[in-house]
Amino acid sequence: MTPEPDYTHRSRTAAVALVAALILLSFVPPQTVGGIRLKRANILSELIRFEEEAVEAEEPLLDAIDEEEFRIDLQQVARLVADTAPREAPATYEWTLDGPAAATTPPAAGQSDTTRRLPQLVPIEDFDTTGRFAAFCRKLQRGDSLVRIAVMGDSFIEGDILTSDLREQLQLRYGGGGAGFAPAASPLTDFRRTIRTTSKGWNSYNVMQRRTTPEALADSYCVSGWVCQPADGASTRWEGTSERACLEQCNTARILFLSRSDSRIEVTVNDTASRIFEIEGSPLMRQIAVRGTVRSLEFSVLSGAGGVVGYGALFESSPGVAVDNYSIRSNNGQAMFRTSPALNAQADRMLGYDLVILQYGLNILQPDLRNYARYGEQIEKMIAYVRHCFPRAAVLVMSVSDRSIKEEDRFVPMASAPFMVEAQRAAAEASGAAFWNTYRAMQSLGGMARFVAEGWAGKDYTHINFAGGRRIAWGLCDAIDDAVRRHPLSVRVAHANIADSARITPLEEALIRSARPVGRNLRNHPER
Amino acid sequence: MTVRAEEHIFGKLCSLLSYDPQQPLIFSSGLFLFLFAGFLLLYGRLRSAATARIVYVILFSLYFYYKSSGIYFLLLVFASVSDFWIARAIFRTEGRGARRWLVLLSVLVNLGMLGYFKYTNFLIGIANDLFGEGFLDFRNIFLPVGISFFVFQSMSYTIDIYRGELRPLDRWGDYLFYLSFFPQLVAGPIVRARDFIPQIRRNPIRITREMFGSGVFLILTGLFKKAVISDYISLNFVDRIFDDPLLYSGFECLTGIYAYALQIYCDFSGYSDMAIGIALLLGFRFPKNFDAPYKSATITEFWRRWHISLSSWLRDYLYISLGGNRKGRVRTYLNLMLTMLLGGLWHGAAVRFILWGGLHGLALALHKLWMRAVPGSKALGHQMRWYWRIPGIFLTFNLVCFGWLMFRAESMQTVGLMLRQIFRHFNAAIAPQLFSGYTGVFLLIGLGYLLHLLPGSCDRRARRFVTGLPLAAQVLLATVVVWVVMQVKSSDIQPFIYFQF
Repeated sequence: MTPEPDYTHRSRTAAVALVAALILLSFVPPQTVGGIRLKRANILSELIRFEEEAVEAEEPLLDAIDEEEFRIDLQQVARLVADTAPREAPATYEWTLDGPAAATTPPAAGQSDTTRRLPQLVPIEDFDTTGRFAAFCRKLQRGDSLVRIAVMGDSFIEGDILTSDLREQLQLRYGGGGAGFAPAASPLTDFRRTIRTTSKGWNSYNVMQRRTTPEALADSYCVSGWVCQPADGASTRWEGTSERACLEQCNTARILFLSRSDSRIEVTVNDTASRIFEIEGSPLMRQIAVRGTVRSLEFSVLSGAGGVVGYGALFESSPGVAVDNYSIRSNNGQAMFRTSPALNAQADRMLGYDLVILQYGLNILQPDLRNYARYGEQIEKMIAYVRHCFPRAAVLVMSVSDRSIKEEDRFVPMASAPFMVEAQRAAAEASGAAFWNTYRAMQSLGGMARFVAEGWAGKDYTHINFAGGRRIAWGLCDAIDDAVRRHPLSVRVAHANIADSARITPLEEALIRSARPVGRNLRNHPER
Repeated sequence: MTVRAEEHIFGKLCSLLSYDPQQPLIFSSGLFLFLFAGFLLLYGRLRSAATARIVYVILFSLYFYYKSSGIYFLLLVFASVSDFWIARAIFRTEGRGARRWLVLLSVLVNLGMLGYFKYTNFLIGIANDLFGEGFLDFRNIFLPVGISFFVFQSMSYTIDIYRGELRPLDRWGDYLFYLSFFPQLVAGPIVRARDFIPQIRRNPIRITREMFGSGVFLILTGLFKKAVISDYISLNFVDRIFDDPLLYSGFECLTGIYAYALQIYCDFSGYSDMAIGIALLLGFRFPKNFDAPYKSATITEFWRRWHISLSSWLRDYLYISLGGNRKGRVRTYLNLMLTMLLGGLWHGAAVRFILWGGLHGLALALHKLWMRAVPGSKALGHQMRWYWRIPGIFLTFNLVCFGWLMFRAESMQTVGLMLRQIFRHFNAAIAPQLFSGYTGVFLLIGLGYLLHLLPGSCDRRARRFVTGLPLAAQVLLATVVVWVVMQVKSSDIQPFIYFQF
């Protein structure tokens, strides 16, 4: 019997043949087969790169945005807002609690001069032509009233990602407290850590799902993008947390809702004091404003639930800063056009927004698309829409964030992102709105690859998490501090000094007596 | 198209070949393919020169280890020196007490290394929990790759000699060869000295067609399991669910756990298969390490099919050393539980791994009790009737998956959140959307489970088929598999898709 041949050498032959075959395969260019994109399989990718033929700059892809989604008649919006304004003021049901109101966090005086949270400053590009951004900066500095900021965005900030740290830092620096807006019910309430929400008896819908929203609610969406439909007995309890500073209590809580027919609402504060409100039916937005020390708040619909639409509650401390997170997944900004301009305007008259930040674009970004001019046009419409609904608010456009894609077996920044940033900047500039380059801020921290490596972002190399949101929020706070420094308060002269003419003559005399060249004065100063 | 070499190509090549803890040398990397092909060029020529071959393999193995762990390859050398001499001393010593002290010394040296590198910070964390934050400072300790494996291998050698089941080696080089042999060095299987040592000096090396074909088959299937199924579903589905379970419905969380069960199986068994396959190409036979574990109808059967080299090591060197079932019923259960708790700790320095071990220990003890209490109950699926076997497989799989939840979650808080989503926000209605949104992921999951559940005869047939192919066809098959792996590695990331809202 012949012994079985030995195959020891076959391994060597096979390995060499395999390596040779793979090297040859590296020369096969990328292909599209049956609609599937096959990439170049470059076994030598660590040492040799194949530079593909540059793809011609593409025209805006037709399927990148659905313009129908962004259709909005801005003149109609203006008319709706104008029609709303002169009518009766939205009803506010006030309840002032016994006892002292929670003290608001005092502003950290002097810090804004030098303290910076991140090594590199990415400043806000102030294209604002309306004066509202300067007014926002000065109001922040004055610190004598509530400065309210709305951040409208997509899944990038949902669950209070980024805004929780923006709020914390602004409140620590400029005063204030409270977690801002919290919806009456949403599938995301468990994910959000900055306020504890327990709700029962509600069906919640967001404006991106308006096709599945009951018809009776379809026209009830406002800036929050969420509507909550209660059954009789439905209730929501919100409670402050210690997840960030300044959240455990606040001095004002506002519950926003519609009550198209008469309803009975019970509000309980801090699990001790409660009050029943008989709400008169009206198509206008209602608010129950509770003033005092609020640690927890419960809102129950006792009867008349059929006409009630719940939005949520806002927790704030005045004077100081309030930051409201209005995020909806998959939203490129078009969702705001499906909200009711009249309800938005009513909300604004109750709340008074000073700044609206727009954080969109992540869902539009595509690796091969470099022309985002058409999306830029939509951003201009968004800015105009916001200005109609929130006429006193400045608008700040946040650019799209950094995002990585796979190239061979590595992650590299999506090359199209800077083009999107440019389109967003151009739209902000054309509309006279402020602009902040989120992409650059992330790049200055090492980009998305570092965010994922540090555990600051998800493995889709697109979405940040709370830790990543904190870094970006710090960058944005640095930029706001910087803007505040660039818009100093004008020197205010006490009214008494102007009115009291008797003091003018002695003052003039004193100035004349002491008049001497400033430079010489300095040079002659004994300490110099 | 233009071809451009990277700048400073020589420097790049040097850095590629140097120690880099971020880029360990793994079988599924392109670099390993090149190095292994280079290694084989000379290996065949040394098939009849045992000493030269041993030195050659040792040098390659130490380089392989250095590439992932740098200077810590000396640890491997130290372990080989220490246990080589202790083993010889045990063999020469007559007195039972002295022999016991010597084997204890070996165990202490090995477990001391493992304890220092793997568990120091875990123990510091426990001390800080007990005595207050800052009681002890955490240490910056590097964990040398594969230390858990080679330490266990080395202990099997000294313990077998102590038990009189093995004669010590005469040459230290042979022992270093055994301990450092690169195919099983970093992720097992844990090859016993008594199985491996007789193969070291076989001269000349003889590789049969069956060994070569099986080697190719195992490398390719292992590569597919590890680099296609496991890596793809991990990056594109499993990780994101475990990172933020509250963003997903209970249905997604549950599918995430089932997907993780496949991921960890494909990752671990795929790598083991590649190790066994590479060893076969070098003329060494390793025992089977995984045997379709999710076909198990009982938890006892699961541990006979999952990471067999570890479970049998734990049985032979820990459970039996503790007294096994020879010291009464209570001690048997206690020994079982202790073995599994320590087995859990072996997997990772965290409480959740101990709990995972505890869960399996408890399940094994309860199954043992069941077997005792219910006459006619069977331990293995193939002994059961189908109407027992199917529910048994279902129950065992779900129990194992519950264990994987603890194994994979970053913390016990994540475990709680996953369970809360599953039991309070299940929302099975999103299933069609989920499957259509993650088509690629679910196709791979389906394929993975299908291949797993196929009868063993299919595996044997496929192996025979690959073995029977001519060399050119085998190379072509390997090229196709590697090309698929590269396509999957470079494929775009599946974007996050949210269904529950």
